Order: sequence, then structure tokens, then C-alpha cells
Amino acid sequence: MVFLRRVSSVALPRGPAIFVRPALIRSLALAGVVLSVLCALCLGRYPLSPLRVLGVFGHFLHLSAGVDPLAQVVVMQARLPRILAALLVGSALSCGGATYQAVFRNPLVSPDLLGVLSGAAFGAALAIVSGGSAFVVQMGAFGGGLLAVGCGLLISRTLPGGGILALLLGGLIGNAIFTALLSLVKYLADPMDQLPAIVDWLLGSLAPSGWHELAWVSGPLIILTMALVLCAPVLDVLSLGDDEARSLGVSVRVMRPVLIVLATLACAMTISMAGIIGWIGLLVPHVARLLVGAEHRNMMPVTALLGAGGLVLADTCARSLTTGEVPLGIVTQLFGALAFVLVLRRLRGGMA
Amino acid sequence: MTLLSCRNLDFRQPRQAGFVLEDIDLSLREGELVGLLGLNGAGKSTLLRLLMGFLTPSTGEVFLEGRSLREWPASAIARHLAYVPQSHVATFPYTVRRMVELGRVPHSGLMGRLSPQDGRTVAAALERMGLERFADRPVTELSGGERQRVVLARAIAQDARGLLLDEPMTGLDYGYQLRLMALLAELAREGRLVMLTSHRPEELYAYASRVLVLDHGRIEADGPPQDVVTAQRMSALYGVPLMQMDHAGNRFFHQERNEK
Repeated sequence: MVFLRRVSSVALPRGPAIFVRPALIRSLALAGVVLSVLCALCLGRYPLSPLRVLGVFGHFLHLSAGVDPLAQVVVMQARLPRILAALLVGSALSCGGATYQAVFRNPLVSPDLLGVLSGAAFGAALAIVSGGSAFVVQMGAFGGGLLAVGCGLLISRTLPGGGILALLLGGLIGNAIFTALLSLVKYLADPMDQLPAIVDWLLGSLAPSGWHELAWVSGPLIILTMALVLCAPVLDVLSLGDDEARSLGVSVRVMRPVLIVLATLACAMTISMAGIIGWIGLLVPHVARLLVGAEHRNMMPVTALLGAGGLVLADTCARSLTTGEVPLGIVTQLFGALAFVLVLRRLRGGMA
Repeated sequence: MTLLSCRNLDFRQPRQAGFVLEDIDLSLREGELVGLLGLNGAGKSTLLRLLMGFLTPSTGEVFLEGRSLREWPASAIARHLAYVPQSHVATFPYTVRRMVELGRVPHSGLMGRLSPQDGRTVAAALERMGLERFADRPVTELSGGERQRVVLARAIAQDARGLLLDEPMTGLDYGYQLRLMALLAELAREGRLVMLTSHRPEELYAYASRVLVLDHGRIEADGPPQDVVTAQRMSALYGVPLMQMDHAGNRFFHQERNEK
């Protein structure tokens, strides 16, 4: 009896202290996302007061009669689709990054590990050179990304030993092949108009995101991101290593490829929509871990929210810092790298 | 009752000549504390990983409760067998409690919440390994030995009928080495099968109910410790001349020395 009492007194105190914090951080992150969306609606080349923005939504919901035609166009046609795109891309990239880090048991991995970026860049470049429309470029990027990852996975199957090392090497080789192919396309491209178009695409931007571009991507992207968030408990087990995961009854041979495919699909869709947006997938999971700990059930929702809000802010900076537009890829790369220094300094013993 | 057995088990690495393990016949019963001795590279870890189903034998088969291991779903195996690897690499700073809670995954399912009963099992496992104070610390901040205790606590929380441990003493301080052996003996007395690889014949003599000697991929000896852990056999196995000394149910070895 004494033994039992002691045990239950150990079991019970895990109440508020542990449960409230992730919930609190989640609410704060959600509030942050709403705030960043509001900021993004107001700021830009044509600044709008929050009241005018709210007026547009009031009109949209038939709450107010008065029409503010200019604000209407700016909010509904220019800014809102772009902000929605940033929300989707940011959360998908961050969740994809967190998934890759857990599956590959390496916190310094980003979702382009298996070559999705180089493949997508090659596909898009090829589409640009062959004079395809914007939609063809999107599909080229998507297909190229999947093709490269598929190649990497196929190559890894032929390597002896299997496991994570073979996957990494397969990805490395696939990456190299498609980087070379991209260089070839660039070399052959017309330096007057095609090459600048390729370079422009590679820098990444949400500028072309309108309702049309959103239409076909948003559904799958939301589903993929939600699937990744729901799979969070699996990530805890997979990140222990193959033998330990198997000893806990998780089939590594099934779950690992499934998660890699989900994360890769999400990543390829973001690339086809916005080009190459670096550092979000690497950085945001680290920030989430600092806030709520490593347990994926807690950190994945926060990762999704932070990624969404963060990219909205980055995109707002990209389009309003200067009179022209700085490509979003440059903004995330620059701020991401600087922020990563701060995160790494806070990690203490957490670096592996 | 026989929990785990294998017949004519061979294992060879792909694209390599020669067997790692050859012709292994074993029948492991519940309530046994089985020690596995052998030189470095004798195939001890490989044998454990074959018995867990992590590796597929080249020929022969492993049986869990008389049914081929290949017919068992992974989660059902995990409810029957727990495994402690030689070393655990902590990549992410999960809390100690979360790590031990993962031992309940085979019972509660991956997505399921832990029941109060699960919580008590986890707390008991933490206490058995002396980890209550560490429960909310990240595993990445612990020393190697403390981390080893976390993995042991997880295996205990798994509440399986068989427990396979690959050199569980590695990195433990002397006190926990002794406590772990006593704990493993206790788990065996509770009616579980406990099997561990070890480089310490003296400890196996004191605690194990059965000792296996693996040499060049074959089982060279299998029996109660009094018969297997002898100076003669240990000298032959390790290539070092040894003398034995029995005292109060223990057997100690020391090197034969030509004194004067």
C-alpha cells in the first residue's frame, strides 16, 4: 500500500504545469497569426487603415452598406489571396521541415534534403525555357520535385544496408543529378529573357499568387499539413531510431516512407506556388521546440502556426520595405539565417 | 512456458561470405534470466536482433509463443517483447517522462491518450530506475548512464513478458549495475523472460538462471551457470588463463599469475 501511494503521488502532479503551457503558447501563436494577417492587410505600397480593411470585410459579409472601391480591390484582389498563400506555404513548409527532422533524426535537416528543391527548380526552368505558361511552370516545378525525390529513393534502394544512411546518400546523389541538369538548362537558356525568368523564379515570391493560383493548391495543401500535424505522435517514436521504434511496435518500413511522401508532396506544392523559400522549414521547428518542448504532439501545431504567421510577416516585409519588391526567398533566407543564430545560442545541450 | 524459440537459425550479412550466426537452436522460457556471453563480434547483438524480428534470418525461423514471428503484427510483438539497445542516441530533447511514456505505445496505440493506469505504470518505472527527480528534464541534458536508465525504464514500462537487453550495464555506475542485476532477477521471478548480453561472467553466475556462450557464431555452451561459467571454459573463451574462487554462492575469477 505504501508503495502504491508513493506511486500515485508521483503520477498525479503532472497537471497544469505541463498541460497549460503548450495550450497557452498555442493560443498566443494563433493570436500572433491573426495579428500578422491584419498587419499584412493594412501595410503595403498603398497603406490602409485597419478601419478601412474592416469596412471591406463588413461589406463582404453584408454588414455595412458603404463601398470603398479602392480598399475593396486592394484587400480582396491583391492582398488577401497572397496572405492566404503565405499562410498555407508557411505552415506546410514548417511542418514538412519538422517531419523531415524527426524522420531523419537530425535537427539540422530541411525538407529539401532528398532533392525536392533542385528537382523543382529543374522542372520549372525546363518549363520556362520551353515557353510554357505560368500554370505549366507550376506543374513543371511540382513534377520535377517529385521526380527528383523519386530518383533519390530509387537510388537508395540499390545501396546496401538500407536505413537512413542509404536514404541520405540516395538523396545526395539525386540532388547532384538535378542540380547538374538545372545548370545545363540555365546554360542553354536564352540569356536575354529566359535566364532572367529562371533566376527570378528561383528567388521565390508570392507575387503571382491570385485566387486562380490558390484554387488548385489550397485544398491538397491544407489536407497534407493537417495530416502531418495529426501524425505528430508517430514522429516521437520514429525519431528514436529504427530498432527502438520497431521494439515499440511501429513499422518503420511503412511509416517512414509514408511520412516522407506526405512531407515531400507538401513541400513540392509550396515550391510550385511560391518558388524556393528557404530556411522556414529548418528554422520554425526549432523555435517551436524552444517554446513548447520537443514532444511532437505539442510542437507540431505550434510549428504550423508560427510558420504561417512568420511567412505572412516575411512576405509583408518583402513587398513593403522598398518601393519595388524584394523576392521573398531573399527575405526568408536573410532573416532566417540571422534568427537561426539566436535559436542555436538558446539550445544549450540540445544540439546533437 | 516457452515464450521465444528458434530452430536452425542461420544469419549471414548480404554480400558477405561466412555466417554471422550458424545453426542456432534455442528455447527460452518465461521466468528464466538468460545471460549471453561471447567475445566482441561473436554475434550476441545479432542474435538479440534476430529474436526481436529486427533482422530476418537467412534460414530457419524465430517463434513467439510457438507462432512464427513473421505472422505477428509489429504492435503485438511489442506487447510481448521489450528491447534495450546497446546505446541510445538522444537527438531531440524529449522529457524523461515522455521517453518512458513511449513504452506504453504498444498498449495505448500511437494516437491514444494514456490512461491513469498507464500513468501509474510509467511512474513506477521511473521510480524503479531512480528517475523521479529527472522526470521533466530533457534527455539530451543527461549523462550516458542516466540516459541508459531512461531506456531501461521505458522497457520496464512496456510491461512485456520478455525483456531483451543488449549490454545493459554499459555506462551505468557501480551502484546501478548491481541494482539492475537485482531488478532483472526480480523481473524474472515475476515470471518474465529476461535475456541479456554481458561481458561479466561473475555477475551472470550470481544472478542468471541460465548462461549461453556464443563463439564463432555457434552456441558453444548452454546450461545453468554452475556448469557453464567455469574457469576452464572462460579461460578457453577469452584466451586468458583464469583461476576461480567460490565464495558464498558467488564465483570470482582472477588471472593466473606466475608469482616468483
